[in-house]
Amino acid sequence: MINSILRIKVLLVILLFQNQIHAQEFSSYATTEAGFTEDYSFENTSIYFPKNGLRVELLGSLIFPGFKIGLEKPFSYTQIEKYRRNKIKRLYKERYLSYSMGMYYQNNYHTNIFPQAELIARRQKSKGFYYERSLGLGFSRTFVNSPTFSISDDGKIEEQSLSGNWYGLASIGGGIGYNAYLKNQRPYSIYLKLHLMVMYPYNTFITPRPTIGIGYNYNFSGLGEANPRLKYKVKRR
Amino acid sequence: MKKFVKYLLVIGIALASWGCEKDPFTLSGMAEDHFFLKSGNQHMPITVAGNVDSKKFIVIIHGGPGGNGLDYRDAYIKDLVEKEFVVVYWDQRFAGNTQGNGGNVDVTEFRKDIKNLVLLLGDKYGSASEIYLLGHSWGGFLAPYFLVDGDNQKMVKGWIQVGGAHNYNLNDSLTREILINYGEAELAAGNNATDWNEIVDWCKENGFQGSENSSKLNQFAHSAEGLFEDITVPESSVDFKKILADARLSKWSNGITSGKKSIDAPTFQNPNSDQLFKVKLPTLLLWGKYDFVCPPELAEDIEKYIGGSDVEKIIYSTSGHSPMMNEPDKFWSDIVEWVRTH
Repeated sequence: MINSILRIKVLLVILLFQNQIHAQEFSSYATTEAGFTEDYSFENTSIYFPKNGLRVELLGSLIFPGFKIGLEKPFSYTQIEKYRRNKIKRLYKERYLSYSMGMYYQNNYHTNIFPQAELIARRQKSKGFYYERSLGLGFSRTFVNSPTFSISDDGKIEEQSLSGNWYGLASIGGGIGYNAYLKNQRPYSIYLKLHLMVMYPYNTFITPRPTIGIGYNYNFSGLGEANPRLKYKVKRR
Repeated sequence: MKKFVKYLLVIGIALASWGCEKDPFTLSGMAEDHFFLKSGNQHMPITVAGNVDSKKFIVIIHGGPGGNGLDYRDAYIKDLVEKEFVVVYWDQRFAGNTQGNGGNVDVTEFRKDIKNLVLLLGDKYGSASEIYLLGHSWGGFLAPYFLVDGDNQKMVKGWIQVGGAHNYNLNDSLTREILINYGEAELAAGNNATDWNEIVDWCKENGFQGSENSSKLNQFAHSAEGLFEDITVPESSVDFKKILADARLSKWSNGITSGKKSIDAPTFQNPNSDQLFKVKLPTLLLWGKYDFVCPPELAEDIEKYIGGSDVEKIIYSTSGHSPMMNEPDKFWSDIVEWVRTH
């Protein structure tokens, strides 16, 4: 038990500080697949750099409304060029850290506010379509949505304001999107994503919560440098 | 960035407190009120629906552990009961849409929760309100467990027991017995031989004591109900609106985890039978003939030991453990008639 808590703590620390570490050790280097060593310089290739993004997501849990807003910062990026006959096919593998604040409202149940850090793995095609997967950790504060009363041992009834609970929160997600920069140099992307959140300790164990989100991601420079560690791979068939 | 987070928090808190502004208590006409009862860090939802002018409140103490109050709310109860009286749908701790970070699972806490619920209803809907407790299955343990304690029964006007497990040990011994008796009769008649052979063989080889045996008996009791064509199940349309509006996953996770937690384990040490002499309330006993989960002989045990003389028993001939689902028309009409006269 202590070991698993320790492991979770270490993972959290890595998640929170990984970005800074990578920003400091920014390096650009090219690696190639075994057997296809080529000397490529970045000047001769089209290098697309992922940027920081402001994510805004309309979040719904079936019929209950919510939203999520946050920042994402790339920390690792691999551009893969596949040579097939005379054509070059480019793929972009990106890793982001995202810090977000989400909330949803469910009538007669609760409003949930949940800040979380997410590790996002994105794979983009040169036309701009992508899919991504994410793994998140955070916490949740709920506020029950109807008047709440507590009764003391001597029978005194008191209304509780802003009554609710704290939970630990873990989430996984997967979605598809379109990055308008790759085709049209417009600094945004749109996406559709499914999330499964799990809150703990919920009563005697956990409670799962699936949500679906439609998002808009605006890419910009600033808010700290986005200097992802770059890898460059070439594959030839 | 800090400002941004601050704004978000303010918006969130404003939205959260939005629902708290409305006074939830309807004091005349038809109620559809929602509020929570907080105990420790458990937030238990309560829905009060029906004709408040009647001043008669039927409080449903649901089954489980891990069931939920609102699952009893169907078209029949709305049409037959809520139009005349008020029905209180309460989710117990660790059950239904109750939310919180764990807490005390001691069975005495459930008793305290019922007391607090009754106090809250009296405070908000007027002290003239008359409370009727309706305990079903596991709720049929909690209702008498509450009534036999101190002066609690003075807070209540009547007790309705539906397929209730007031005495767990007796319950399990009766379940085992009834499964063998019915099973042998069905085998002799050549009905569902594979299923009945498994049930009868297991029951003969095993006793009824111990939590493993208890849960196996419970499992067989539920499956035995499905082997009788006499049991009626009225057609019902799926209410997608209700399903979507529910925190369904909370109910499922609470249902599964409460079951695993064996919340009801201490009830084996708390048979209510020897305390029932304290109950002097008018009592209505409602049982399905094919209730293998809580056999009808449990009603006889209550009749034998209860302290009051106003006791009425109805056995539903085409029902199992939940007559409100098998014969809803007759079931709710009987309750309405009984509450009218008590």
